[in-house]
Amino acid sequence: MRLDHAALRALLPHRYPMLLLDRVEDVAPGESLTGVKAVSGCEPCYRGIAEGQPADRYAYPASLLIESFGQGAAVLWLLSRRPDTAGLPMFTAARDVTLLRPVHPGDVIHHRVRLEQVVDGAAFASGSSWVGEQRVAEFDSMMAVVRAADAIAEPAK
Amino acid sequence: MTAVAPAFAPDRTPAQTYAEAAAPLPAVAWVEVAAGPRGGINLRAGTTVDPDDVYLTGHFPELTVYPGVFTLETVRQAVTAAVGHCAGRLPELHRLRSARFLAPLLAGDTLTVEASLGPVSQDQSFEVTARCVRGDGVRAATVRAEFRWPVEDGDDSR
Amino acid sequence: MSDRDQHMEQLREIVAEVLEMEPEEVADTADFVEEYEADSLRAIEILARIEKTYKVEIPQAELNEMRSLKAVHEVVARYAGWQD
Repeated sequence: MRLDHAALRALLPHRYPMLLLDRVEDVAPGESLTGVKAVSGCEPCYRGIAEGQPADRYAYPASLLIESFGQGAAVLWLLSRRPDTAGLPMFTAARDVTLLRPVHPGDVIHHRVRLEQVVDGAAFASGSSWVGEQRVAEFDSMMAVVRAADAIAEPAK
Repeated sequence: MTAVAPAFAPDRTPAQTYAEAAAPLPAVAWVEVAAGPRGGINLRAGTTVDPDDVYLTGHFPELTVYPGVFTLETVRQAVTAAVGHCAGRLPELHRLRSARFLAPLLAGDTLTVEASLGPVSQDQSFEVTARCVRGDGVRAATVRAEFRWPVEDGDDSR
Repeated sequence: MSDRDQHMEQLREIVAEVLEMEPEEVADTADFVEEYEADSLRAIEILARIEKTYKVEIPQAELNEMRSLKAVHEVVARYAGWQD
């Protein structure tokens, strides 16, 4: 199964510029997902850099890389759950995430996400992120707790 | 590796830290640094969640929630501002050992980070343990991570 | 080693890893929340690891009970059918 950007927007509450997944190339519900994120110099994380900084300062922020992987994990959980389950997974804990190589504008990241375990109200995912043949990050355990969707979508009542 | 004696040298303000590398937002408003045990340092840093920040307008359109990864970003910028450069390189987050996000941060909430850093080991890495507290005193997050100054070619040499 | 001792040692390792402590630091009856500053996420992680290790399902309602190593053992024994 392949999901384009419109399908991801329909699944996730995140919006520009915080929707950090461009498309999903492959999903085996309950098991695994491959998600794609293309990094562009147009992203707002590059707007604040002072002139004249060296090349290494343009590395894609680790915080956004981790969020992007986490959104892949969220999509995998959403496509794996029983039809009667409501709510959205919120990233609540991580263990042993290793950043191996910097990612730069122009790079296309492939997140390979595995759904490890789903317990009552919580989900655990693991996996790795790749640019071409090079692994750029490893995720031993990412934990999400499922929260009611209306807590995000319909606030301030 | 060249024999640069790794040491902490606070030499950046939060604004300078934001302007010298890619970052989703200016994630630290102030930083205070004090000497810690065994050549390490202790830092305190803080910020306030601004719903008009461009990334936060997408997280989420109807309700601002400071994402867990932005708490990591606050820790990273506080660490960078506090420890300074080594041979022209900024310290980078290498291994996130454990992060736990315990309470939500909404628009207008303040976040205070209290972290102990170091000492610096021979391979230019150092451990960071941070407690993050919301304005009302509730613990919002805990983070344990290894940072390091990358070696000259910016690549992974291990 | 009796079955009970063996289960206790396995559970001690799981709890120690989640709480980021050494196994020998986890006492049998110490309260995770009061003595080790555990939070609700840690409790869910302990539950998840136990479910995975022993292939049992434990309802989240039992989390309130699972506040010490000894209490965890009692709950798991009940759902895993241990005769400890």
